[in-house]
Amino acid sequence: MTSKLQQARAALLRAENQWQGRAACVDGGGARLITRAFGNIDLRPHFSAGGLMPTGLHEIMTEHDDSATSALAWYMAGLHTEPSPHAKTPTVLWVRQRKALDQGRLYPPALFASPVHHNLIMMTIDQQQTALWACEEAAKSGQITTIILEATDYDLTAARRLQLACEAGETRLIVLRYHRAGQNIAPSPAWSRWQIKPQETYRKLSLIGGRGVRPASWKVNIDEATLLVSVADTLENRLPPEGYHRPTAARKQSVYA
Amino acid sequence: MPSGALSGTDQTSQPAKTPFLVTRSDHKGVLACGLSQGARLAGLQPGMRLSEARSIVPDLVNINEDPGLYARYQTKLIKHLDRYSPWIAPDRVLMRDNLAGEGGFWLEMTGGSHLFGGEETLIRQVQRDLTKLGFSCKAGMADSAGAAWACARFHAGDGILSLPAHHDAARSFPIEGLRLSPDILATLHRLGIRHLHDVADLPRATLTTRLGPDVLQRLDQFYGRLPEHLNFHLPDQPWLIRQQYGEPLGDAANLEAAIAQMIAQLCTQLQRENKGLRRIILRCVRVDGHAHTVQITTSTACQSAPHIDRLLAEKMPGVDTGFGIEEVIIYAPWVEHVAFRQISLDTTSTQQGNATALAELFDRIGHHLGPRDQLFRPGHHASHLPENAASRQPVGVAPSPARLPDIDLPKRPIRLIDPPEPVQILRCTTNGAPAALRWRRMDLEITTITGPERICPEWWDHLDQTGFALHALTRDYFRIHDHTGRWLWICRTLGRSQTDPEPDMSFAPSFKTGFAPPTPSIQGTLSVTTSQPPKPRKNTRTLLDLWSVHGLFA
Repeated sequence: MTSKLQQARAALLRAENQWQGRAACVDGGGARLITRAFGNIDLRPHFSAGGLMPTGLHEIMTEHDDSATSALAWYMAGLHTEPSPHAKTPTVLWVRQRKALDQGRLYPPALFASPVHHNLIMMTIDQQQTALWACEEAAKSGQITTIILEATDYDLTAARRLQLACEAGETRLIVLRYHRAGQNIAPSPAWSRWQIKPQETYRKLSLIGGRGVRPASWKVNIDEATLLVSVADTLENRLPPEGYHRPTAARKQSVYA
Repeated sequence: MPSGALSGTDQTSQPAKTPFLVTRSDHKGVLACGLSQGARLAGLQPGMRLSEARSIVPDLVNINEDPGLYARYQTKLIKHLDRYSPWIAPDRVLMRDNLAGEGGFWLEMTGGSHLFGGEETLIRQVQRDLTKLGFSCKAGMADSAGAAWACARFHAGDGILSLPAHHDAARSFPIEGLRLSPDILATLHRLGIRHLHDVADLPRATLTTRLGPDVLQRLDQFYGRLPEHLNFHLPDQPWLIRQQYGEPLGDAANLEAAIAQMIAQLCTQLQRENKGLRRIILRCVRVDGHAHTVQITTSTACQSAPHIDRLLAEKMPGVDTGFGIEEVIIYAPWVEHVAFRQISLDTTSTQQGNATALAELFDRIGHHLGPRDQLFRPGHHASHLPENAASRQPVGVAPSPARLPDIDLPKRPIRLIDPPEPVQILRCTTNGAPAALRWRRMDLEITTITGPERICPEWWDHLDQTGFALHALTRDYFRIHDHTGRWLWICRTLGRSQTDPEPDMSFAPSFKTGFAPPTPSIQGTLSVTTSQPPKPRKNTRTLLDLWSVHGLFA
């Protein structure tokens, strides 16, 4: 049974590799996709597009006392394909709706030691409507590199609007979305959805969904001074093991070629 | 003398002695409205007809009056007198009525004469300056504008009149010093009233019935009992556009089009002078006199008309056109210089955007926000208290370094819970450290605890402490790791009980003392609404420690 599952996964992976070139053209071509992150982890097998989308909507599921999600959002705001020499300090807008997440406010002195130098602008807003409007306006303008939003739960229409605005302005939008453990996760057009949970001695980072995403989870550490997220070990994934080739796989490959 | 006004009389003087006239035409003919010194010496009088003057001096030279030339000289004199006081008012009545070619100015010198070495020195300096410019000048200084006017013409001495002291000198002024019209002056002369004391001694009711209200008004203004309204010459406001409509604008679309046109005009002017506006005031005056004012402030100097149009368009639905808007005023009271900036041709740098577009984005967002919403840049304030250490800076200014790079802060949480949430200590270890606590209805087993980090408020804010006693706001912070894997930042506030107003808190921070026993009494101190707070036992010192969660680490 396990070997049949592995065969099917390998076939699916090969099929995906064939249309990967077209799928990556969504914005900017495959060269802009983020392929390595979290301490040199290869992200290519987990995304059918060939890597993590540098722009668009990404969601991080959080509960009220998950403070590691803030560190993850800050780390993901600093992810780049390659550091370009003439790029100025990117502007990051952190939009916080009051009482959306019951974990206090972001405390900027904790970010001072971080090697990621962003031009951080913060917003504190009472209403969700204003927060979504401000995010859409900032995303459409294209002047902000990354927006991090914490707001109360929004519907599919609002998520789609945010996604379109991000595509128009080539902006990355990272949403800290409240999700109560045990409940169903609301549908969303996000490119990727993440979760980070504290365990006894480590933190479990999970890629739980998104568009063309193969879920996985890792054992990660967060450096408290620099807020860098690095993978210590792989917990589980649904990838075929390295170097797995069945003899029949070569014959079946011609079908997709 | 703390206050004073200075009045000067100027008269064009001709260096040549040839008789010379400035003439003006009216319905009866041509009359003289300005005389040179030579003409005066030849016996000519102001207001004389030209034919009459020619009969006295046959080789008389005359030129026509040029009001524009008068205005230019007046502006030149105001610019010159600007060095003494910024408040200068030309005497408009004198310019209009007199026929001797005289003009006058009031300078508001309140609190300023000491800068020029005193009042006598100031008057001498003004006279010397104006004589050097080619004018003959008389100057006087007094407490009120009316008194200064009379003083410049009729004061016998140094031209300084301080009223309670020089009361006799003021009473001896001729009645012409009250700036009255010629027909009232003629009546007064006919009645034998020639000096100020003649008028001042008469009963007031009689004066008004016989001569009208002007005499008493001028007299009261002379003595400072009534205010004097002078037309001070103020610098013009170049960033104001006023548009009046004969047919009032009743449609909101028409109004918007009109405003867009005016803003485009204003922005063109601003671009020409390389300036940008920081604040713009739009005022729409309705036909019934009601004015609706919209004010917009931008984060940086802005000279882009579409951007201002968009900012104004959000406020325009609040303008009620009613029966029509007959006047629109646009005024930029705060204008700043715009540094020259080059728009880069490099495509890679446009990815990051330019500062102007970013500032316009902040303007758009900022004007949309409600009263409690804030858009800010995080800053660092040099304070040990964590809630004071994070400050807020405006987004418009350039980002200042948030922290000095060589200062190492201890580990700080990424989320700060402000105000701190009280927790209940369920169990303590043998040395007094908490072993289990209840926070948000969750029972947390503490596996690791590090600390304390003692944080005191600034000592200079609490100088009333006796000795070296610690302040009540002193807190000890601990980093704890619970069984679920969370890292919390909890703090202990050393509370004071009523029976022990001065607890000895000058011990070194340790776990030996100061931890509350795991009894329900701590609950009583946490909730204020408890009906009967537990009474502390006698002869036992109780330190009511309040434990609370102040932050979450990543």
